[in-house]
Amino acid sequence: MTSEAFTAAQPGFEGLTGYTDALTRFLTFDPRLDPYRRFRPTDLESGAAHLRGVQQLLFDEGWSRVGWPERAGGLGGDPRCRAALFQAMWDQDILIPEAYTTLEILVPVLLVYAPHLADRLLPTLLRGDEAWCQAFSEPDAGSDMASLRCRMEADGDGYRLTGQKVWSTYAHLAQRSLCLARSGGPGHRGISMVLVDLDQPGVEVRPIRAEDGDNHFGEIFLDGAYVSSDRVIGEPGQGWEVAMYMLQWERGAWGWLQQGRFHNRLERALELGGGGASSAASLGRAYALTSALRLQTKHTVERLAREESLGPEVSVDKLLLVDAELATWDAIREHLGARFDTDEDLHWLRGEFLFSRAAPIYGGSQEIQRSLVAQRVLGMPREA
Amino acid sequence: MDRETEALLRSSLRAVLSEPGERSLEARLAELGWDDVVAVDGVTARSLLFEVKGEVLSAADALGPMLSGIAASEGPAQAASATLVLPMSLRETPDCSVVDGSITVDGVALQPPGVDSLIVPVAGPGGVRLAIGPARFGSSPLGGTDPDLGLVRVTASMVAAEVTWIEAQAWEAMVATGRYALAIELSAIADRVVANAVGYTKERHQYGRPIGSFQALQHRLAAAHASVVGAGNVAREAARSGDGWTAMVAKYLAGRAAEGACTQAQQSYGAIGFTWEHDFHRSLRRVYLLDRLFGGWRELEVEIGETLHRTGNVPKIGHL
Repeated sequence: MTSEAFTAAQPGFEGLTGYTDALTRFLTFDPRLDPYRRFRPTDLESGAAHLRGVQQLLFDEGWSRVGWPERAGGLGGDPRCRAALFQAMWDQDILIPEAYTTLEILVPVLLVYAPHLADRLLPTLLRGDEAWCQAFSEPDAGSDMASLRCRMEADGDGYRLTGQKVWSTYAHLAQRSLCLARSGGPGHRGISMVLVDLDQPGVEVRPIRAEDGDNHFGEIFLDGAYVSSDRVIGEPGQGWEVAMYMLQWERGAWGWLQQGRFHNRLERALELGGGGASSAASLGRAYALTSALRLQTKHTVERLAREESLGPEVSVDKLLLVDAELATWDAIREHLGARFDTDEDLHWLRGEFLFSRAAPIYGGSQEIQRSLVAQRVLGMPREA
Repeated sequence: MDRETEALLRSSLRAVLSEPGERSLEARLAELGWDDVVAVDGVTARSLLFEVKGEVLSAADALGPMLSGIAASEGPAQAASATLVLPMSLRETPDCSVVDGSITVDGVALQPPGVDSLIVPVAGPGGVRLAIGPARFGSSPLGGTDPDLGLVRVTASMVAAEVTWIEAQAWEAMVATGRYALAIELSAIADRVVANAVGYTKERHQYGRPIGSFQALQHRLAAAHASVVGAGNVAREAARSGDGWTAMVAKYLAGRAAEGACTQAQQSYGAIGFTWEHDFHRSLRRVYLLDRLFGGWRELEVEIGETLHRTGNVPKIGHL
């Protein structure tokens, strides 16, 4: 890491451009990145293991520490630097480790509601020395999150968790999980968020194989799993508020990251040839919707960088993401024709296509987002 | 332009664009000191003009004079007061050329020609050129889809040796400007369409509750809102950058979002929205007509895709 990039990373437009230019040079020319450019994993587990290498490299050279606060092991600079890292990686066709996505969603929350944990644990996460997952959904609490039932009961100076979590992304590769549990009565106010160790008695994690054949998520069975009181994020009973704060990061940063992927994948598809007149409209639509997503999430990332607090309008980001994600992969499939379905070398592309079918479901369904926009942005009456 | 100045300008533009009577928009804007405002921050001023124009559904012609102004800045000063005649297709591709030393024009002007001077895009071997100069012409009102807009059909004959020619980049700049301006206007109309429909669903009761509480209508209008927000961002970026490609993408998104918003709003109104008395059809007609100008969204969708296919390049619009 040169001192050039560190000083360039200080907030302000010129600084960001300086950081991005230096980063792009590194990602384009450093031979240590050769194994990661155009890397196509054969399965999720070996892919994650391989990408830990790029996490280590980017951490040790300082690049991934830019955009995080110094007290938590970062090098300073605002969240736009992290967004710039995602873009620069996609520009070189380097897969973004799942850990970065998780970090982008979980760490801003910790910085505000549990700074003691963020300061201690951010470097190990950034470097890939350990991995975390998010455990919110339950078999009977999907969209209706406030009905979750996982119990959290006081035990000495800590708590015991009992219940079942599901759809937890990369759960079987994680050592800890940020978990929502019921510490009080029914409804929003009885919910707490805790960071629970998964490598302890009373915890069992089972991967779930998704339609693309990979173990994208898992189930977590908690049977009296222990959590010490310093692992509560915010105060007990504050879990809903913390989760809502988390969502604004999930919308902005994830949407931005994905537009980088869509631009790159459209370019890869064009490079593979094929298509012609029949897929022109699909390509045009996919590209334009991806551009709309890009500018919307750019705006959101910039608002987050200015530390504005975001409201229900960020649901628009997710709705634009759904449109762009489905349109992009539909266009790629149409452009490549039968080759998409038969070319053995395109296994990776088919996997990403199949994953895209979850866009209207993951991270708050399209229906939930539309209801939020209708009622909380447009001011339509609550459903009877 | 700071936020306070912007808010002031917005309210002045509302008054200017809502003013009843025959006075031309140019005269009203001149009274506002428009040239000075544009000199300070042209991007914000022009964006606001078209945004407010859409918001109040004004039929005044802001586009024609702005495009003539571009022709004047690239060519003869007289172009500023000349009338632009668009091809009958309303697209950016000319449908006339020089034949035996003369140009026969049959096209559409956005307002009745004032002086005897026209600006006409003409197809030629080296691309589109603009012919600026005197013409013998006839004109007649053109009702069409949106009679409020006051379009005029212009038939004219120009002598090639008597006109001033400007090369292709002026027309490219005019198309880019036209597209971003229309994209901003269409986004603003679409926003108004969604807001009015939302208002109606809060008032109208069936089964003992406001129809806006039904999920089916909530989801239609929320989806429309998201598309309009997305289109508006790209339109403002196109205005800021002045880039032709961005303007094309912006015009596509805005036309598509505006048509979608009209479809969802129409369904939300039910039968009342289908009446002449209800003013919804005025927005609907405006959207259909403005979408045609400089290429409808279905044509642009294909053109964007074909360009990506031909170049193999997927450019990114807007940077951190």
